[in-house]
Amino acid sequence: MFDWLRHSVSAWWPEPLRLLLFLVGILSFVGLNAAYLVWVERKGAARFQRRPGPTEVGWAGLLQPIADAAKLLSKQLIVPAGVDTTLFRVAPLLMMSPALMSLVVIPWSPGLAARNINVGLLMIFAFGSINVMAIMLGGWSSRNKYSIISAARIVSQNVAYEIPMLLVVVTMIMVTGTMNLNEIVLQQAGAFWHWNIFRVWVNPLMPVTFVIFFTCMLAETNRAPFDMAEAESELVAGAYTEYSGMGFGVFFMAEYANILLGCSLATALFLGGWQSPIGVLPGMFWFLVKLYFLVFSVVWIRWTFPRTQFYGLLNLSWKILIPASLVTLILTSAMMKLFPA
Amino acid sequence: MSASDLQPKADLPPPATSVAAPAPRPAAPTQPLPAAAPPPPNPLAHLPFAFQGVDYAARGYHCEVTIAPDQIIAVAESLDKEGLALDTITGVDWIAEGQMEVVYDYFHPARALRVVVRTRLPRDNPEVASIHRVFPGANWHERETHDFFGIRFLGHPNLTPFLLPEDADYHTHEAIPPHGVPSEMFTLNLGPQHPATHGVLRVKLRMDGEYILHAEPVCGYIHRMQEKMGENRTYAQFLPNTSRIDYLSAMTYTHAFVGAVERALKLQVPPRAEYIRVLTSELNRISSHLVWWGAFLLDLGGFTPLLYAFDDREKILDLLEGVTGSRLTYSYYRIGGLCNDVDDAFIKGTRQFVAQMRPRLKMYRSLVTDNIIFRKRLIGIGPISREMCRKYGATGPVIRGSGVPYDVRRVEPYSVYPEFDFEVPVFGEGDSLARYLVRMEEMAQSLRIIEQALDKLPAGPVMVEKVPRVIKLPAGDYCYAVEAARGRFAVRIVSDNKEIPYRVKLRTPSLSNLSLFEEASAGMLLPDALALMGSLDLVIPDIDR
Amino acid sequence: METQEDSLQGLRDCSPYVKFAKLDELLALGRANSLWPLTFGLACCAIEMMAAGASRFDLSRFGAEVFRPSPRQADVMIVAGTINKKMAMAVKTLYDQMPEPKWVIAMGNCAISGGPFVFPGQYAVVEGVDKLFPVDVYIPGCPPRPEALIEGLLKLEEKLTGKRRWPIVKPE
Repeated sequence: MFDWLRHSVSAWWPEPLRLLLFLVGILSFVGLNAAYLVWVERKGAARFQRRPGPTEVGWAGLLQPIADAAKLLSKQLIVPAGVDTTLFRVAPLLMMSPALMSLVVIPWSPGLAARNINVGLLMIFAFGSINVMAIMLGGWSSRNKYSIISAARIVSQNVAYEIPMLLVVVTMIMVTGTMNLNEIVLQQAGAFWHWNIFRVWVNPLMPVTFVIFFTCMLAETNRAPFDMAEAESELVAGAYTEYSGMGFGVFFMAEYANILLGCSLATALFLGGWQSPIGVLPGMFWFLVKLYFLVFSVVWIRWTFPRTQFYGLLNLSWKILIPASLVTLILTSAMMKLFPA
Repeated sequence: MSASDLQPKADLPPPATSVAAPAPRPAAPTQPLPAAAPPPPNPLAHLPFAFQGVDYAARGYHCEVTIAPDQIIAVAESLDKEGLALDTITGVDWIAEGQMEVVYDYFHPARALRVVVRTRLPRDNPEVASIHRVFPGANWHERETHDFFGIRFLGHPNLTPFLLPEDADYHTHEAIPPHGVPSEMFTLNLGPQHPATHGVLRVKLRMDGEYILHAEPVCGYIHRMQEKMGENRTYAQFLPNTSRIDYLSAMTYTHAFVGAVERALKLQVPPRAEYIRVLTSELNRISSHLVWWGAFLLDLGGFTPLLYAFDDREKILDLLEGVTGSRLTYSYYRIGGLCNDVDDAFIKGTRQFVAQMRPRLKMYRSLVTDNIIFRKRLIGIGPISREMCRKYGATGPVIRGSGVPYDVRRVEPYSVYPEFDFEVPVFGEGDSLARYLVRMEEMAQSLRIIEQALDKLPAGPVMVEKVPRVIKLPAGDYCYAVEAARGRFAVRIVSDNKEIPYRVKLRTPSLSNLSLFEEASAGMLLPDALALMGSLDLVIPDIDR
Repeated sequence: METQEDSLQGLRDCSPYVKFAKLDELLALGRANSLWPLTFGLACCAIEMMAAGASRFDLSRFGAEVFRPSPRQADVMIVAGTINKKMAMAVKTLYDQMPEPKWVIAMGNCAISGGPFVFPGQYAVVEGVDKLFPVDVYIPGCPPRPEALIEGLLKLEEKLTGKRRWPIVKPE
């Protein structure tokens, strides 16, 4: 059905309209997901904690995110006295935009990518660093000691975890030979043993590489057990303390949008994107299945593990993940040199 | 004459020998004095002060002395050399005599020895030297006594309001660190509304980046005048107050109060009532530790164990609600026994609970205690030495996590605890993990005690046959101590032979446990300091009363 | 056998399925179903509040389990415990920091009127939270059971939307 849509659109309508449709599509995808991932999180948390979770608001609580959205939209927007008003207002938007922009290059299904950019991976990571700046601005402009401590922690945490992530991505670029996400997914055609995560004849440590990528993704999106920045029991609400109403709502949504982005990237890079595991009927359905499986694991990990200390977190990155990703990089280049395929 | 170069006065009477008679008391109104009772021994006869032995079963302490105010530091120093710890300091206002009395309680962490030191000050100018140089734990007790009575402690570094609001006529003068101010120093205020402080505690932190230079807890935000209400309520009317001091282990607190009254009136509580008291107290201890466990893990970032702990706790609450009618603040014990008997449903339900709690504890061990992230956060964090515990009077799992096997149920046995076979868990490392393990093991030991109590539960009445209709304690002071979930809780009742106590002093464990936080947290990282505070297991109304 | 009367009856009774709502009612519905409390447990009642959020009674069924520690993100302040004169300033500051629309639930006897700590000559307790700021729902008890807290929350929802979620069960 999507193929028909694509054909019809490209045949009869001009390019700007195609882009507009994609824009609306991505915005609504992110919006709906951000809202309903909250529902998934609360229901998942509830089930892990052996209680029902939201049940009253609509059937099985499905209207809960709508109620939350209605409430947040109609809340008073307080800008505390003495804050830097421009930065204070801009920070949530700065956090949401990179995720939205990066979703432009993700291949959803054969041929269904908003833009088939040759340097797609590079673009995603370029935009991803804006995240750090956004939270730091939010924390700094709030004129609140808790927010500043939280902003300082986030900067050191994100900088520390970007390095192994980029090393892993460089490894993948060497393995696949391209930065174009569409090409990467096309290379993984066939049944599931063709997926990049099982490509051990080029990089024997490929599953380890996936784990490193996943961990760094958790840290970059500030999810537990790496949520030192918003350590609820220590820093009140961290960098978001002074945000009320929709300002806070946008931060909330941005966190889920970033998780979506990270999991889509992991799916495209390692798990074969829209390729089907049994070799038949590839398409968007498989992409969504893998994506939501990863998102569910993110939720699961949050409600299971306690938080590490801050230096434990940084030690994990500098002393364990960076050496590990360097080792995989060197090993991959050695394998590629010794066994040119 | 300065307070520091004191000598015992040359014209003191010769040291009391072991045959000294106990201090004369007015005759007890209802029971005749036991004929030809041997005089109680005086374990401190070798000290150059006029210590006298006291009948423990009648009063709740072993030894006392009344001295002049300028000898306070000398007595403190010699008791320090004996290895005693400071329990509490309080005052009694004898309005009719125009004097204020300061009462110092000391206890020994290794053997059964409780010493009471008293001194009298003129009411219009009450001044006495501060002993904080000998026992740093005296700092807070003296501030509280100053709050309540206006007694000035000379030489105290920070005699500012402790439980009363800060603008109560004094201005705080903060101690600036002597070596200049580090470059990134700033003051962070933790609380009084803060998720990690488990109640309304405010901690003024002076921080250098992420390191704590100085942490000063500020208390008094939930001061509910429990001790003052003791002076305005009859003995029976004060019972509901006892549950609300530390609401998580409410049964044990009520036990201490009714125990003190029964000790004074020399009531023999029937054995069935004693067994049920032990049974319910141990159930309460488990439910209190479960709340601590869940909240502590919440502090460390694990959200889920709290819900599991509350699940188990709901089962205990159902059992206790069936017997007492209340879920949290029970007023189940009465003076002379219990309010009502337990029924078969309770006994059956408790057995079922014990059977299903043991596998749960195993699950908690494998899921949480053996979890590497969790262990890394606790091992080596917040070390507290035995000396520090002794100087500050810390008790309960804090002192048992530092290697000292001090448990009131063993050292000063009360009720029918001597008839039970249980271990007192002691871990020697002194870090947060040691205190954590002490409490987890205590839950297992409580299950053992509960099983034995169910097996041995005697038949009989649950109330003394003849409790006086109007409860008046004979004049004098009476103490009773119990091992509550947080440590040693002691009640001291000063009576002047009326229906209403003259003074009720509540020695609460959380106050002594928290008073060492200032010294223990210097130089720590903030999350580690919060882990340390969580491992102390504080309930703030227990500090503020 | 279905008669014309029956099918007409079915047509008239479509109110459970179709709602004609003005914006106010919609917003009120949204707010009532997503009340985020402020973590403000002071004393004993706080434990019963935690028990109400735990698995057995589960406040999250009503969308109210997201306890926010920052007052800027909370809607309802559940004052659970005794208010002290030393604490009163801090409580008032927290109330002022909450953005509109906001509500207050006074949980427990201490928050309603000082509770068991009122006696002639008392010096430390503020006799009821409504001496500081307006209260919407009072929940008596010392401490009130978690079911009572849930009932209080439902009463607040009724105050917002004008309709009660579940009928009040009358004991037989």
